Amino acid sequence: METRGRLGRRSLLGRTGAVAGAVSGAGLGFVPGLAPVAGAQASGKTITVGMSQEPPTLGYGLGNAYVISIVKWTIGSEPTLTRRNDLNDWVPWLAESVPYLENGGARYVGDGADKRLQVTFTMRKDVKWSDGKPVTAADVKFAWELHMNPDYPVPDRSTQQKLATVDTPDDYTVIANFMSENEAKEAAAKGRGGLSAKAFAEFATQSGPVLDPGYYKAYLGAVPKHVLQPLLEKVGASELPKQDIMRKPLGIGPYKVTEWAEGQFIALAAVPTFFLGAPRTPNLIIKIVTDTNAILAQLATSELDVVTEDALSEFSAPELDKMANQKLIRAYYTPGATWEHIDLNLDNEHLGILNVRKAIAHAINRQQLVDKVLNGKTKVIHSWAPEWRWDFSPEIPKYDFNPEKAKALLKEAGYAPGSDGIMAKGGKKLSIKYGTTAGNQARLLVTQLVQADLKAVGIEANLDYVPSSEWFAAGDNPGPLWGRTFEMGEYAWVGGDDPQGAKNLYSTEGIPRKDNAYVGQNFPGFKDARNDELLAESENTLDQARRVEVYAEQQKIWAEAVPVITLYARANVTATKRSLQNFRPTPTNTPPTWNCYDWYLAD
Amino acid sequence: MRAFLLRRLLQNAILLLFISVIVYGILYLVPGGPFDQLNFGATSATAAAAQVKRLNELLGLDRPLYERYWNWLTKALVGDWGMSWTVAFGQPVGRLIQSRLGNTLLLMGLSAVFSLAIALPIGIISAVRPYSIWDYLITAFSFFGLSMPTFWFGVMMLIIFSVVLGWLPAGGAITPGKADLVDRIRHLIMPVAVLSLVQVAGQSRFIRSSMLEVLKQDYIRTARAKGVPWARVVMTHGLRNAILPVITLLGLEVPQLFGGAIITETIFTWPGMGRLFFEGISKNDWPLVQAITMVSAFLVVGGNLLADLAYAVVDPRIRYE
Repeated sequence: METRGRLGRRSLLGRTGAVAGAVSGAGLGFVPGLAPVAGAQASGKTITVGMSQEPPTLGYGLGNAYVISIVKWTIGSEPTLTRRNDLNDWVPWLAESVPYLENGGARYVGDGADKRLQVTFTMRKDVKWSDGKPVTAADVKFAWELHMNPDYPVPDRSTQQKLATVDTPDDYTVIANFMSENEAKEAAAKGRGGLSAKAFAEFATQSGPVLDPGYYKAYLGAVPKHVLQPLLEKVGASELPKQDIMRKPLGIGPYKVTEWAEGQFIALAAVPTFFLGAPRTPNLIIKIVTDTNAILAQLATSELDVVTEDALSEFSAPELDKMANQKLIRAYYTPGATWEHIDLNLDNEHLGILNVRKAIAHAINRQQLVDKVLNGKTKVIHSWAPEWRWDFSPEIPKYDFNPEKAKALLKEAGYAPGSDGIMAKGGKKLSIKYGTTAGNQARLLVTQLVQADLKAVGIEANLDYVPSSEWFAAGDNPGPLWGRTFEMGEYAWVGGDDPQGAKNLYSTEGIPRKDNAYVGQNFPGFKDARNDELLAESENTLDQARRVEVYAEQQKIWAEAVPVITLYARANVTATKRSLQNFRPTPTNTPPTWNCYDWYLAD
Repeated sequence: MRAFLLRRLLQNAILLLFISVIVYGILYLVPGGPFDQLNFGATSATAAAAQVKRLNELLGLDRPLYERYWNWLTKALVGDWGMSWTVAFGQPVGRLIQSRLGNTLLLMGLSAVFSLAIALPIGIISAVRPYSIWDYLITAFSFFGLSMPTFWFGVMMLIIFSVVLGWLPAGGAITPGKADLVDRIRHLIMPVAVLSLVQVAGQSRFIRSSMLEVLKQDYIRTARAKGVPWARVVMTHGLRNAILPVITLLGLEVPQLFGGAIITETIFTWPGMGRLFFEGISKNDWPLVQAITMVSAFLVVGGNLLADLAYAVVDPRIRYE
C-alpha cells in the first residue's frame, strides 16, 4: 500500500536547478522538466499497459475523458506550458519556470477598469515535435486560437475565454493577457472573436479585472502549427476532428503513435530526441481490455505489465492482494480525488432541521462502509477538500459513529419513536427517500448498509435507484439532482487539483433553479451569508495565503451545517508487474503515465 | 417468383422505415445527452451550461425532432451514418463499424461453421439411434451446453487455459506486433469454443427432433421397403426434409454474424461489434447505436427473406407465386 502525505501547491516555488529529495510522501518524486533522465538505457523490451476503455480521440483539445489523458501524456500531444507532477505540484513543462505573482512571472498592468492580469511564460528552447521541428511561441498562440475557434468542438474553453489576447514578442515568450473589466463587459455585450455574447454571459456583471486562480496552470498548450494550419485552411475547423492527425497527433513526448488498431491497442515507439533524454524502454503498447476478469487474467499471465486506474477498483483488492502475495505483481491503492457523499436536500421538512442532519451523520458507520464495501483500501473523509490538497483544513468538525448521540439529537429536535420504531414529529414520520444511481456495485451495498444504520436510530430511508443518465440529467428537463426533487442523494464528485469552482457547488448562487436555467451544483440548497462571502472572495483573490484561510473557514461553516454527508474517497487502484521500475501513481487526476519515459522492466 | 420477391421487398422496405422511426424516437426519449458530464466539475455553472449549449448546436442537437430524423434518414440511406459522439469522437460511424466488422464476421462465422459441423452429425446420430447410449450422452451434453452461462464458462476457460496452464492468450484478437496465422488461431480458440458450445447444444436438439419427425414418415418406410440402404435413406430422404426448420434457424442467425456476441466478446476482449454496440449504449453514442440497430434490423429482415428463398432451393415442392 502506497500512501502520500499532505502536499503543498508551492513546494516547488522558488526552487531552481536540479531538484532532488525532500519531496514528501513515499519515495522521491521525479520532477519533470528539471532533472534529466539519469542513465537512460534501452532495456530492449516492450511494456504493455492495460486500459479499460479506448480513448475516443487523441485530437488536439478534443475530449476530456481520463483515458485520453493516459495516452496523451505518453505522446505529449498538446504539451502545456506548465504541468502537475505526481505530488500535485505545478512544475514547468514547455516553460522554463512557473510564473507566479510572487516571483514576478505574473503581474497586473493598466489602471481602473482597464487593469488586467498579465502572465508571462518563458519557453524552453530545446523542445521539438516528434518530426524534429522546434516548439515555439507561435505554436502556443495557434493552439489558443484553435481552442477559441467557434466551429472547433472543444468541450471546455472556460479558462481560455478569459484571455483577451495571447502575445508572442519573440519565438520563446508567451504573454497571456486576461481580460480587463472593460473587455469582459464588452464581450458579454457583443461577443468576442466570433463567439456570441451568450458565451460570455458570466462576465456581464464583472467588477475588477478577470482573474483565475489557475493563471499559472495548463490552460495554454502548444499544437504543431506547421501541420495544423494548412489542414485547417483546407478543411475548416468543423471537419478537423475527422482528420487522421487527430488519431495520430504529433507530440513532444517520449513516445509517438505508430499504429492504432481500433478496439485493440495503440502501439507507441520511443522518440530518441525527447527533450529529457531517450525513454528507457523502446516500445509501449496500450492495450484495451474492457473486462475486469480479463484484466486480472492478463496481469497474472504477464500479458500486461501495467494496469491503469480506470480499469481497477477496490473490488479487485482480494485478487490483486493474492497475486501480490505470490510476488507476481505490485498493487497500489492511492486515495484519490473522487469522493462519495450523500447530499441532503435542505428544503425537505425533516432534512431542513440541523439536528436531523447531524443525527444522520452520527448514525452512519462510515468506517464499516470502507471496510466491508471497499475492502478497507481507502479512507473515511470529513471535508469536500481531499486530504492531500493544500486547502484541506484539519480543524474541520468530524462526526463520529455514535447512534446514541444520533437518537439524543433527534429527541432534542422534538422527535419521538412511533409504534413501528420510526421517529416522528407532529404526526410526521421521519421517512426519507434515499436515491442514487442504478447499476453501481458499491452504491448498491453502501445504500443498504446506510439504510440499516439509519433504521437503528429510527430513521426510515426508502431506497430509490435511478438510471444514471436520468439521475444526472441537466438542462431544461432536469433529473432529481438538478431539479432538486431528491431528498437524500448519493453520488460522487471528482475533485481537481485546486478548489476553484467551489462557489458553484456550495454558495447560494449555485443553487439550481428554474429561473437560472438550472445552472449551479449546490443541490442540497445550502444557504449561509458568511459562507457566500467567503466563496465570493475565494474567486476574487489570487493571494495564496488568503485563499488557505478562506477555504479553512468555509469548510468549518459547511461541516457544521452538514448539508452533505461525506463518506469516503475512492482509491486510485493500479497494478504493475514486479519488475517494472519507477512507476509512481498519483492521488490526483494526473495519469500514472506521466513519467513513462522513466519506466523499465528490470531483469 | 419475381412478383413474390417484389412484394416482399416492398413490405420489408416499409417495415424498415417503421423500425427506423421507432429506433430514432426511443433514443430521442432517453434522458441525457453526450455532453452531460461537462456539467460536473465545471468551475463555473454558467460557463458549463454555455459550453453544453454550444456543443449541442455544433452537432445539430438543438434542432426539432422531425428535422433531425429527416437529416439522419436521408444521409443513412446513402450510407452516411454520421459522426460518433463519444466512442470515437469525430470519427465516421461507418468507419468505426468497419474496424470491428471483420473481427466479428470471423468469430461468428467460424463458430457458426464449427457448430453446424458438429451439431449436424450428432443431431442425426441421436435421431437415428434414439434412446441409445449415444443419444443419452449427446442429450446430456446438449443440456450442459444450453444451461451453461457464457459469462461463467468463458471465465472458467480463461482461468484454466490461460492462467493455470498458460496455453492460450487471455483475450484479444492478436498479439500486438506479432499477428501471424498461428497467433490469430490461438486467440480464436477459446471464444469460438464458448460460442460453438452454446450453438451446438441448441442446433443438435433442433436437428434431432426435426429428424425424428421425418424418420416416422411414410415415404421413409417406403424407401426402406424398396431396399434403399439405410444410410442413403437418412442422408437423402431424411436429411433433405429435416433440414427445412434448420434453415429457418440459420436465417435467424444471420444478424448475429453482424451483431456479434456481447458477453463472449467482452470476456475475451474481442474487438467486435457486440462490444462496440454495448459501448455505444453505455456512452450515449446515439449515431453509433442507431447505425448498428438499423443494420441489424436490415439483416433480420434480409435473413428471413433469404431463408424463405432457400426453402425453394432445398424443397422442390415449394414454389413462390
